[in-house]
Amino acid sequence: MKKIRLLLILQFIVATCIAQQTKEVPSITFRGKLTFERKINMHKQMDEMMKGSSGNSAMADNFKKQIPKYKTDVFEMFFTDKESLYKPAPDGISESKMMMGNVPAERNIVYNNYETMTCVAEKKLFEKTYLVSDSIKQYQWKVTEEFRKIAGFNCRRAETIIMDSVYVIAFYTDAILAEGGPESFNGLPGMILGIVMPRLNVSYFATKMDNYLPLEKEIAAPIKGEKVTYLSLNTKLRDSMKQWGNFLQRILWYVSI
Amino acid sequence: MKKIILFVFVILLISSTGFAQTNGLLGRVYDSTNVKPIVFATVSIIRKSDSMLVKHARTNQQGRFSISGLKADTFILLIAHNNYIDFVDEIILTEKDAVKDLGDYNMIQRGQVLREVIIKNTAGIKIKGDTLEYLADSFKVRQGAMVEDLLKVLPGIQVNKKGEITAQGEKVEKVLVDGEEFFGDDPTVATQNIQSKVVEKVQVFDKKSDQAAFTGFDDGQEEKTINLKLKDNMNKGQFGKVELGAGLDDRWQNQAMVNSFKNKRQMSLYGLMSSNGKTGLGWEDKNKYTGDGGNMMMDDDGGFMWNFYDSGDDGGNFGNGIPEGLTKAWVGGVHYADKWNENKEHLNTNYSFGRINRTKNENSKTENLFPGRNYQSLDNSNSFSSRNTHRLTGKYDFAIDSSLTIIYNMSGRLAFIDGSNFSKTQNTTYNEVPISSRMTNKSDQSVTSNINNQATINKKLKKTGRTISFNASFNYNNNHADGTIEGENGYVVAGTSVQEMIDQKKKDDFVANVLSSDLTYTEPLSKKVLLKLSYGITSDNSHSSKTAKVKPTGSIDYSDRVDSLSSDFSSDIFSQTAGLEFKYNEKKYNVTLGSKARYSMFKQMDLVRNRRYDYNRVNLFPTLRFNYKFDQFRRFTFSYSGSTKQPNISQIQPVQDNSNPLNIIIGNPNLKMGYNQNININYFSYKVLSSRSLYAGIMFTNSFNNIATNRTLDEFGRTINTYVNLNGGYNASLWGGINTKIPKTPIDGKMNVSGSFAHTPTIINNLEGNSNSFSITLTPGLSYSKEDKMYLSLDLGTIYTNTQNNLQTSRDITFFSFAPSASMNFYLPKNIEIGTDADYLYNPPVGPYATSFDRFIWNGYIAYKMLKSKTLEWRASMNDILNQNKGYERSTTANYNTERNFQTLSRYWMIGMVWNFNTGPLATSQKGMGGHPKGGPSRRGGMRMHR
Repeated sequence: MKKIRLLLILQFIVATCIAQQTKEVPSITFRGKLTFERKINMHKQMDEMMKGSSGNSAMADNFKKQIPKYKTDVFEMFFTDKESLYKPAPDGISESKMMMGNVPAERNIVYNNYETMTCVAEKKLFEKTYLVSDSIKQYQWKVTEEFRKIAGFNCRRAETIIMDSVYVIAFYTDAILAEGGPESFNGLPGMILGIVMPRLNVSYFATKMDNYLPLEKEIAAPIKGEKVTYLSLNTKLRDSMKQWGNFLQRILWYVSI
Repeated sequence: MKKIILFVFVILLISSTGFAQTNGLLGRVYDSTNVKPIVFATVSIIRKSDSMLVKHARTNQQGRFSISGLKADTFILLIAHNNYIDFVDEIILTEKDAVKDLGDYNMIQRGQVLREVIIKNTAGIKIKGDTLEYLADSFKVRQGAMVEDLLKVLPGIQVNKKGEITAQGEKVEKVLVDGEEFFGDDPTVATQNIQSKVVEKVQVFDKKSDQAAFTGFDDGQEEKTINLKLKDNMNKGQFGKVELGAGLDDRWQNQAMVNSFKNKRQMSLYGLMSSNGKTGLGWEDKNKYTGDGGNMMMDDDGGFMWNFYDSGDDGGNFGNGIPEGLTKAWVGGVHYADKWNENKEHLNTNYSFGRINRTKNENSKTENLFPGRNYQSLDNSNSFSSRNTHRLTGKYDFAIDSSLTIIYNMSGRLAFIDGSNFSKTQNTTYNEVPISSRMTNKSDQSVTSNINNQATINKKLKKTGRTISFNASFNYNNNHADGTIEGENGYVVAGTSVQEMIDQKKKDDFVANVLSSDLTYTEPLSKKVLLKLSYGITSDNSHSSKTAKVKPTGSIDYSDRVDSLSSDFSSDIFSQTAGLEFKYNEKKYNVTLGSKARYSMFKQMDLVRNRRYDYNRVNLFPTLRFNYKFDQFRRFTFSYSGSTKQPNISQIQPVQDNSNPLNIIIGNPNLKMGYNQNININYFSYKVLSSRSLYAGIMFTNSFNNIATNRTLDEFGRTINTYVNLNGGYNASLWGGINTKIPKTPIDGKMNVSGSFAHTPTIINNLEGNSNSFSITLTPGLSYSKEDKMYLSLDLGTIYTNTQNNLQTSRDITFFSFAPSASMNFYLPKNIEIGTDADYLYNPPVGPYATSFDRFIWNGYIAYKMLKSKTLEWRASMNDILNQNKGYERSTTANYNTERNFQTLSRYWMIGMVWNFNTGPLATSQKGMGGHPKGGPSRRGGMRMHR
């Protein structure tokens, strides 16, 4: 019995040693698959949505009690140094029971081509599917001195403001060559492994990285949907959803990221 | 039609490229250890003004990068790679630089060894230009730790028991707080009174002098400096420390510091009272008995100069690590700094007050060596002094625009010193036959004031490197002292013994006004050669009078002046100095060559004897400096400086000084001009990641036609002094050391060597001889620290001393002394901390020193931390547990061997508490995510880069 225990302990030590050796982060990653976890604070989301609308707050409080505070969804991203595809993982989007608590444009698919600097994105909004074809989004990043470890990578913090009012915190690593990130975020010297948007009560963080050569079909641009550009989609939505008020702004934000 | 369209198109294309005023950058990134290009490093170009990422690129297979489409601006270049430490540099791009080649950048590997032993989080260390930066939160310290504890765990930084800091093998001279000088030059005020958790970054760099930074001419006055960049949210609320401690036998030490920082405004209060020798704020008193007037000395130019013991700096005297005498201190200070007008205007002021009372008993035995006439002196003295000093310093600078800066500096000091001293001296032969004796009882009251004002205007002209700088200063010094001397002198003259009673009243006055201004101009002669021209004038106006009065027989008033002890001198020195310097700049090295010439006109009056001495002197001061920078952490410096030395008027034609009839001075009109030279060689290398530092240096000084005193004792017991030129004297000293992690162990090892050799020609009783003295100190040491658990260190110092005198071979002295020391600190569970340290000193009996001396000083403490964030600490400590502390010093020179015993503080114990408080947001929460709702932080304020 004792021997077995000793053996087990030994095995454990050896295993951890090996694990530690293999855990070593490779110096530069050229291709692979990243898994992202998106967390939305549903309670806050509800508060925001109720703001300005005539719905009574007692009802909202009641709703809040019935839904968990956070909604967690899983996305995956296939990438090479030339292109990347970000999409919901199979069964990655969790069900949300409440119509009111639903998140608009919660299953975006984004394809970025870093050679032609173009992007193709599929945005599902209620019953409608749009196919945005445009050049890669440009962001004005501020680089800071803060660091954080995400999925084993040392990430530097950067910040920007999108759509004049939404503050975005990004964490990127220079150890991945592709310059993309969750949703359509890009433009930092490396891969973005974390995004936090306090205003939208949402965060994205990579949970793991697989060194993997994506198949051509796994990294193919989406093709379904009504063809638009970001600008025309924006005008379209503004025109058709005028009466949505405060709600519209949030939808536009979710669609545009 | 098509052709026209094409034509228009082409025109448009050309004009558009013509108008787009874009610039580019080129460079190459290398691995510093094996000199291979680094592939796929990210190169980010960040606009300095708003931290905005403008462009970025990756290096290619050859390690090259090129970035185009930049507009003229100041940028931060950030080079990052997973395997290397981030490199940051500042780049200024002007419209003229079409494509700027930045050359090669060397990156330092994060290293395999390192990942295992030293730093868990390598992102915690960064190199920005010449600055090494540590992110404080990346290093683990105990809760409630002070900055000093943080510095101890930072790789490459050591802190010794006295709180002195060594960074990258060099002593840290200054600790700044948010870039501001903090209560003058005592680093421990900041490191021992500020908590480590309020610090965001620790930045280590070499601070150049203001002038060197402006003109680009190194003056060799670099100071190793640490800047503590505080966390942004320290801008609200107050933080600080209160410490109380007391023991029996009148032992106490209480101190407090309160800081209130708001944006750029810093305000701090500090107070201390102690009876255990701690004085803080750099108030460590000079050990010398002051209060007395001054001594007349000769300055470099050969003029008069009055030199006061009380020369203005209250620097410490801890020659052998033991404070002399018993001290009580009451010290307080205020610090205020602010920046406004978009940081263009900046003010830094410090006021401090110190009252230091000291009593001291000492006795010494001196062997005086004169050929054929050796004798010994026994001295015994008791003294008391009380100094009340006020100090005020202020600096204001105003950057009117990017090219024009005005700097105003002032400092003022007012000191009231009361002192009394009772001393007995007995001169005897070796067989204890008395020669002479003296007993004096002195008391003095003096007031000293110094005011220094300095204004500087720096202007950068259009052409890069062309600068003009004007500097004007005014210094005022005033010293007034009143004193009495009572005593008795007894000596033997020509076989008969004489007794002399002394009862005098003394009054000393000294006033000096020094006005000076200089103009410096630099001009780039080519891309690599820079010229510096300077011209300055100084007017030094001083007056010194000393009066000694005695009571005429039968009178009770001190009304008779003693002419032999009174003097009245006035002096006007007007000098003009012109300098010419060239600097040749290459990427890795630079050479500076130049000289200064000074023409001085002396007008000096002896008002008592109504004599006037007018004369002029010309002196030259050549310099040569060579710096070679292998890379950021390896450099070599060679410097040479020389100066001519004209004999001064008192050496040719002495001012009669009849103060001592047994001491006669005869001038020598045949003296030749002397020349002194000084050579300094330094090598320094530091390896960041293995935290290994190596330094070595040699200094060599010699003089030609050195002017020395020939002292003869005549048959009447008089000493006759005359001056002669003596050749062949030199001095050499060397120092070196290595500090390193011992491979495969968690232990730090060090080996320090320092030595000196002096060859001094002497002339006594017209007999030329020479003396050699040689001493070398070897200090190997080990230290071990386990973050958060323990800290151990052991030093084994061994000193070898050898002195020889070819006229006195019987007094060739050779001995070894030992000075090992050890210290231990343990951080135990339940918030208990214990620490102990011990110092041992052994000197063997040799030659004139009849007995051996040894001393073992052992100290210990136990501390207990409480409250949620461990901000309250209880502490019990005992100093010199074995009650063995004795003040002792040996000094051996060519003509004297002195052994001195003095009173010092021995065993005492204290119990007390330390409370660190913090009313700001940090008191409750640590830094979290997403704390900056608008605009985001741009945390580059305190950054310093010079490359």
